[in-house]
Amino acid sequence: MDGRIDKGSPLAPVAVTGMGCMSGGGTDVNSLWQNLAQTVINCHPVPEYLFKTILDYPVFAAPANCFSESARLLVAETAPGFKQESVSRTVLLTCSAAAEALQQAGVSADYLRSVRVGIVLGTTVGCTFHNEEYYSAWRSGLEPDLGPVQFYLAGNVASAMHRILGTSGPSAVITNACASGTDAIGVARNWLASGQCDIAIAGGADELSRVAYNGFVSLMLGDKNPCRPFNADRKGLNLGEGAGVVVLERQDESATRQCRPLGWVRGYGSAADAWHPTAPHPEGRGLKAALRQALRDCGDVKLVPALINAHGTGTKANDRAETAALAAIFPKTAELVVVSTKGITGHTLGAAGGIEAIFTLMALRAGQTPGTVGCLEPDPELSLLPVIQTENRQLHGSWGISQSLAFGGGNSALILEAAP
Amino acid sequence: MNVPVIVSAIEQLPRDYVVPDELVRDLRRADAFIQMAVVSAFAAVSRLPADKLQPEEVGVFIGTAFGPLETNFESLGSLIDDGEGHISPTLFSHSVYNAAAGYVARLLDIRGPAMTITNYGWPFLIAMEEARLAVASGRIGRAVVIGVETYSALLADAYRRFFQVETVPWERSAVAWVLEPAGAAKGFCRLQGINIKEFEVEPADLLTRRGETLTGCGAVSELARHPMAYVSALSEAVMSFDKLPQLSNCWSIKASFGLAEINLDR
Repeated sequence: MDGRIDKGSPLAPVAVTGMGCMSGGGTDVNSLWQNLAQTVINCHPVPEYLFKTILDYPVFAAPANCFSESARLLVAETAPGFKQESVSRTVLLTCSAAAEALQQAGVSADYLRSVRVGIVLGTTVGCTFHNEEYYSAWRSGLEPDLGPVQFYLAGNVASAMHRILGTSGPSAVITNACASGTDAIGVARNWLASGQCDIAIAGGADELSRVAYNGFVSLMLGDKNPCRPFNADRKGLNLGEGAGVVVLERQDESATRQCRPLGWVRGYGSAADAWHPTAPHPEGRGLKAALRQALRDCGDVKLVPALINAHGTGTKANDRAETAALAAIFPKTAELVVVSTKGITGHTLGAAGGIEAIFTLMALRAGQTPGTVGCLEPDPELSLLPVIQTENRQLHGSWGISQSLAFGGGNSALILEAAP
Repeated sequence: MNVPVIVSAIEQLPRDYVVPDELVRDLRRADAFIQMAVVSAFAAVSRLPADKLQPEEVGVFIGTAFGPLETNFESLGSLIDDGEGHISPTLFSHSVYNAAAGYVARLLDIRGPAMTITNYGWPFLIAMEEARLAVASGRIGRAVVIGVETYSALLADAYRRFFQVETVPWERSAVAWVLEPAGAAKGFCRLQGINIKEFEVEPADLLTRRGETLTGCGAVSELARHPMAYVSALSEAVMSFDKLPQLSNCWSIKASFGLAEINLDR
């Protein structure tokens, strides 16, 4: 257990009882994990079913039909009249991930309707109105049909999930840019610990959007090849899309349901850089504060995690700042096992924190982690040596960290423990 | 740890607000959404006595229904007008929903959590409860909670056409509250907790907010039909809470889209 001393977490532990994913890296948790283990890189030009572009920055796109069979079966029970075209792709991605997670948790639709369900989801693109046809027509002085406005108003992803699942309880969409998914899990943990809900569906979701795609190109943060996090010659990130969702329950609730937890959320920290709109603080000031907060929150400030799933986007600035922060918080860097999984998913923005929390628990449960896809020659200027693509590292311990950095200077970290 | 939390300052940004001199330079490129969030937070914090809190002990929590939607459309316009790969980097970075939280954090040197919550119903209350939990648990010593809406011309046009009206009852506004541990500061009242339940509604109901009422602060009062009405009404009520002992400790907001309960204490 990594020399961990349990001093008692200030908040009751919250169990992870289900995990689900739909992304360009895999259409469920197992395929995602297998693709990581076998270095299957699904990074291609933007498919026409998403949008047309003359730019040649590749992306990690989920399948054209991203509404899984599990989702279809679940929704047939909870919302019989549901039409896929009535919601955004972000909501469909979420439905697929949530259906898988709920199935693994053994949570029935009837049970969900009998308890207070907290739904907390992170997104960036999913809360915007990016209907170009409507906007262009309106800008030209026309009065286009109001359907896209109704679609936008019905599109708050957390409210949409309540509607689709027929559940009631609190809901929130966290829009903390690329840290949204991590923060959503942290907020859901807080809601459960404070008794605001009995069960929570949390994580993140984002579809690929032409505006975000062009925005990252404009900021010169993209790579025209598959991304190479931590690599010496890394050029930037690839965007991806997907959803990563976990089912969270208080320990007593999951015990009552006789459900075996997959792991626990042990700590959460979030902190601002207070530095720059798009660039991280060079020394990872906010990330260090978020990590310190998460360590205090888990009750053990001396924890040395068995695994750190880094944000690792593949941009020069992110990877430098992130590793600097990690080296400052965990000075014995030779003991650290640090990976980025964006070489297999791309940067899924608001979904990243959800997907990467799942990767973290999968690796901790397996007792090993594949290396960082795309990293063959680590940048010698980084403050630590990440696990490279050709390695498969054994993990010594059951506690790990999943962390995110964001535009706006947001940073957040989750401390997760895998169940034996 | 479960520390009682008080509301120690409230700032309702006046319609004719002026950007303070010390912020003018830093806000010269900011859109209205960012600017109003920063100025309201700055004014609220300025009302507090000097203290020794570290930047990491302060957090910012923003709740918004529509976020920087106008800037989103300007980004889209830039993409259409300037062509692929040439979208304005400033517009794009300001169109991200947490850009305002980032500005508030940077300009007020806040280095605790910076959270933005987007929800059509009661985003300010969701942000408030998350802030309250952060203070109550001892994770931070102060939370700045901001409600801000700047709307957009496109959405206003949709409103007019949806409801066949000439005037849209929206006005840009921002409100900032400060929450602190009860023992460390003086304030208007204790904030015990907020519970929210959402119901399924037609999308248009989220625009009109028809029938939204506030009870507990005297008679049942119907709120104006815009997403900052409940924020303003709560702010007014909290500011007079200690002067009006007849006010109930439990207030509720009802609307077609849900029910929110706000529990206070003297």
